[in-house]
Amino acid sequence: MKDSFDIKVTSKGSPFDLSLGELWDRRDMLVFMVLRDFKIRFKQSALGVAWALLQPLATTLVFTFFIGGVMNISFDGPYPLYFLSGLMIWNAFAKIFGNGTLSLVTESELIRKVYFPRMILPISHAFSVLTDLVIALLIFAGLCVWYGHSPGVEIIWLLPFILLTMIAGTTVSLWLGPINVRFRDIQIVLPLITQLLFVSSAVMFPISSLGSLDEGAGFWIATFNPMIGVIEGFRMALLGTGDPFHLANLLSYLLVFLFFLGGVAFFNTSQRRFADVI
Amino acid sequence: MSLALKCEGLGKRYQLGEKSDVFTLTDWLASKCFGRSSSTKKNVEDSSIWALKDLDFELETGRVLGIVGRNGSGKSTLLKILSRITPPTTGSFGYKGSMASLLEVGTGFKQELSGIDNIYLSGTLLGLRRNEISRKIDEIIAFAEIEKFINTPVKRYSSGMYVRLAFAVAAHLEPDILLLDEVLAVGDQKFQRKCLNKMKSVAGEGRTVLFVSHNMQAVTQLCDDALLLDRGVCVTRGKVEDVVKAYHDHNREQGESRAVMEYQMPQAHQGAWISSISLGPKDNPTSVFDIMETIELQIEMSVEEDIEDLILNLHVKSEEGMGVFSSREPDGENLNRTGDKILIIPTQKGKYRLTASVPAPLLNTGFYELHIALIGPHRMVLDQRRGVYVEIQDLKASFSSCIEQRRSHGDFVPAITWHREPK
Repeated sequence: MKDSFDIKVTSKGSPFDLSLGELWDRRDMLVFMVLRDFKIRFKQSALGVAWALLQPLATTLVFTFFIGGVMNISFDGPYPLYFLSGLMIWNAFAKIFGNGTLSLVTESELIRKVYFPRMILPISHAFSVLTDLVIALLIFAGLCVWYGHSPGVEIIWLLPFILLTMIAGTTVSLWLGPINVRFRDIQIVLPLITQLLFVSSAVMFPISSLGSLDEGAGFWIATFNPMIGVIEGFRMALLGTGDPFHLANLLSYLLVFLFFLGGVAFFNTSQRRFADVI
Repeated sequence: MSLALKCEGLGKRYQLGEKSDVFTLTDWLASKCFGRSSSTKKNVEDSSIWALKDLDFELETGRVLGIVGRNGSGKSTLLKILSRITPPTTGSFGYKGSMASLLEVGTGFKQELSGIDNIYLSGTLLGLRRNEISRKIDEIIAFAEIEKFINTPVKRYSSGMYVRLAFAVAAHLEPDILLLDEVLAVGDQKFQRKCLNKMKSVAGEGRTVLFVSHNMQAVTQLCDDALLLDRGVCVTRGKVEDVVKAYHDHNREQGESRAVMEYQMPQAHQGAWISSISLGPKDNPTSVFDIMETIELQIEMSVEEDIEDLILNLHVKSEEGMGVFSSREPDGENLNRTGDKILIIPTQKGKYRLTASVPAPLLNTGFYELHIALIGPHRMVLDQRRGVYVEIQDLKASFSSCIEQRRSHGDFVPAITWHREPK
């Protein structure tokens, strides 16, 4: 009788053996990793979960009064709304790829001791960040009431852009995470990468300051930085101003998906050796 | 009967020292993306060690297989490969159904979270579903005996409570194939027995189990078959009694005629190291002692720099791998160094020979393994040597009634003083 095995492991792995079924099978682990991150964050602090509200509120106020006063922004609504709309999604993106990239090394104990689809680690950070985003949106809603602003139907665009941000952030960690397992240089340059992306994403100033997105440097920056489009998209969804559908933006969304697929394959080939190399 | 697990030509090679097959980032990317490596094959072979080599075995559904072998024989590597933590360098394996491995307790525990949160976290990490955990939650809490503290962060737990909870979660996994490491039996004596009993009942439920252990008693009790590994190679596979016997014979062969052992300076020594251990009188080394004969032990050590608080620890283990006794020098009495007692252990740079005498009669007949460790400040192990074997024989038949019955008579035959007086 020929034995048929459910799982077969050989010395050579395949980058295309994605075992998506296994990933789905272990979804409960993802849920509890996300819950864990949320529960641990404000443990043993007097204000507890209130900090989740206070942190972004404070940042918005700082930016409004110190930068908003200096810079000339062609937005006829209240500045705090303008800042917060861009800042919240940028923060989400930065956190997804920052924590996601480091997650493999932070959880090296787990990688050495237990088997689970390693991709759960970077992916869990894409979901962990949703709690921050919901809180930021609550603050935004509060500010809307305060300033008497009401978002239009464009608000339905929030969801696709949040999804895009989650995929884009995870893509970065799928590429940088495995390299960081082998070469910790990545975590040393990570803050620099974050700053460069921040500056090139036009988070705190209008997109027009990058120049035209249809030609020259502006075109190329926007093609390779999807966050330019995403931030514009958020402003469009929440404030009804901005256009996230320049050709460069659309190209950047396409690139996100291509790099995401490549990242999945790259992560998949690297992950087998994590426990030996980490 | 159908096969649950099958391994073919399984091997694992580890690089020694710095990973020499990868030089630069670009090199690594090239090898990752195009499967190229600029270093030569020969280079890799030279600086590597096979932790496991050409292992073939099959395991039928519902059988309990024990994996035995000394430290460094490849047992843990095998478990790591089978649990898919690390890939094999050569060969392949396949299995049917679900597999879970318990290699260590408490993985994934978060100090800040409560007991109940950690049960879910660690449980899902080990492969349980949320609803499975919910179903067993009362059972887990009861097993860990922490009912009152279930909502307390685990950082406030005593170490006993912590390991009990950790084991309880792990013990409630119900995979088709279970990989177990004996070091899992944790906690105090009472709880250790509970752990082993739980393992026994898990193994008895018709599950396919791989059980790795040093403890021959536990292996004999739990397993149907066993497999003996030595330096990554399967030495023998068969009925558990035969393999346990082979394990003892194997250890004996290695231990015999090795009354004098010389060691090289460890590559990364930590200030003091053991250069040789010899058994028996200086002019007539032997590892075989009569039951009435004092066991002499000479340890040569080298202290590379002045060191405070050096401790020499002697730990004696029985054939079955159970601790028999330990002794340390200096002991508690002269640790304060104010008494008149002379400090035996050196504190200054130099080479020393320390001589110890274990009084007789003390140890019953049989084989004993000595572990000798040098421990520095903060309980850091500076150097340690295992695999020193002593055989005690009753050459003059002083204790004839106890011969060959050590298991039932215990490890010790101390000289006990009796008195009689008319009443």
